[in-house]
Amino acid sequence: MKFCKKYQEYMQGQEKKLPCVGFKKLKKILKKCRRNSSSLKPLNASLAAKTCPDHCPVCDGTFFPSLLNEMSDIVGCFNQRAQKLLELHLASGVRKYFFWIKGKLQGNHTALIQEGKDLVTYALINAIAIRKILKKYDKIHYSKQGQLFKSQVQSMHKEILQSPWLCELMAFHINLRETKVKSRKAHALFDGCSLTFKDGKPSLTCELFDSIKVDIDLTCSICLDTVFDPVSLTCGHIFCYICACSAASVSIVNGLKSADPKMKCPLCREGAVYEGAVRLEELNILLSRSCQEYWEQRLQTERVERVKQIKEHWDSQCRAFVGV
Amino acid sequence: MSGIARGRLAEERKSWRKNHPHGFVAKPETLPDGTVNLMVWHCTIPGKTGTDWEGGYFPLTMHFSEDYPSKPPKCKFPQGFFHPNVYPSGTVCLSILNEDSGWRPAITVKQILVGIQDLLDQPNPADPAQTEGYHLFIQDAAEYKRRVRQQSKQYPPLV
Repeated sequence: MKFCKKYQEYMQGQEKKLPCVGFKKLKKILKKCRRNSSSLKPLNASLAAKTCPDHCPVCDGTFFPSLLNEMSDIVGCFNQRAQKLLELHLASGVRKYFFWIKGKLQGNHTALIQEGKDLVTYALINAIAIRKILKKYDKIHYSKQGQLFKSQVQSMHKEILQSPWLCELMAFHINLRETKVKSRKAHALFDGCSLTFKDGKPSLTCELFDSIKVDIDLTCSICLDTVFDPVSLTCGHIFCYICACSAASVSIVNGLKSADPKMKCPLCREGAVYEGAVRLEELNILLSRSCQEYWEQRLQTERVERVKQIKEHWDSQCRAFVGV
Repeated sequence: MSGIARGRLAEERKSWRKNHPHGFVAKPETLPDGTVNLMVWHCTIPGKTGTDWEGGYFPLTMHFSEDYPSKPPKCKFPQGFFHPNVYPSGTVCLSILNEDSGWRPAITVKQILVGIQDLLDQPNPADPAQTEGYHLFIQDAAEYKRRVRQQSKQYPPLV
């Protein structure tokens, strides 16, 4: 079955109407463009690369703006739903009951897993759809505009695979699956997410349709160790909370929200990435279970550093108050 | 922040001992009382094979601050080292070691040393740090090559 058909079937099978990539509409735009430029197209592909313009007036006016809007809607919807689901899962007893009463979600375990599975699948299948349509654009135009658009979208944080909530959902999934290993129903559910260790370094892996593989490295590039109390910056890179604070030149007392917007990501050097940082609670739970010995050890060293920073903070506050 | 700096350097040391490029040396300074100072590393960079730098094993000292890895280490060759991008004091001038341009906390000691090895045979004339090395590199290629070979002989491998 062609992916386009598979994708449409999947989207139609969703109970709630979710934003999606207008595959048919975008393909129509490209077909029209193909007709317009077919008379000009030479047989030799290398010649075509020179003669076919990088910018296509037919597509640039409709194709990219349309795709960008769809991508924004998809990411927005995914982030919102994932956030709600994780909020419910991590909520304390009273809040959980309140959420359940409000009818946000069924309170049972299987429903939570299913919802998580659906969201991960939704994210990945849309990522494939976007990748396929951009490949088609580049193939028709003999250009690299599609790739360029993809990198621009990444810098606008509208790439779904960049979303911190995807990482959280994958961790959430493994957490729930492991808490109810004996449950019969759990085996029938989506089993694509796993925490793997390569040379002692952990990563989250997820596969779908043999077409896309998400591999999220869980090594903090500041301390070169497994991320502890992980936080994802808006560019999608993950660090230990205390390391991110250090990179942003803020104390853990003030937190990342107080970081100067000029401060850049330690990996990609993108600016203004700290204010919208997300604490990855589910990932924290998963890693604390999977690397218990390391976790205990790190907890002690972190405690010392935190106490030291808090003490320094209050000392400076007292000095400022007294006027020294 | 020193906790982060020392933790990172301990990881760097572990990673280096597990796997490092052939011919390179990088080890933290050992103080007279036998304790290890992770904030200063003594390194050796081999000249690249097939270049005028071949055969030389050049000593380099890396000084890490308490703000590492937010701030890059200071890398120094011996005073008077001959190279267009090395200051008379021995400090290396390289974009990845500049906090305002190419430095990222993700850059490892291994990457720094390999980067400096590449710089030896591929100087950046747009960023000169010493007059003599720069002028010879620009104006007198033969004399520049001779000086490089001579310097390589001054730093034979330590047995």
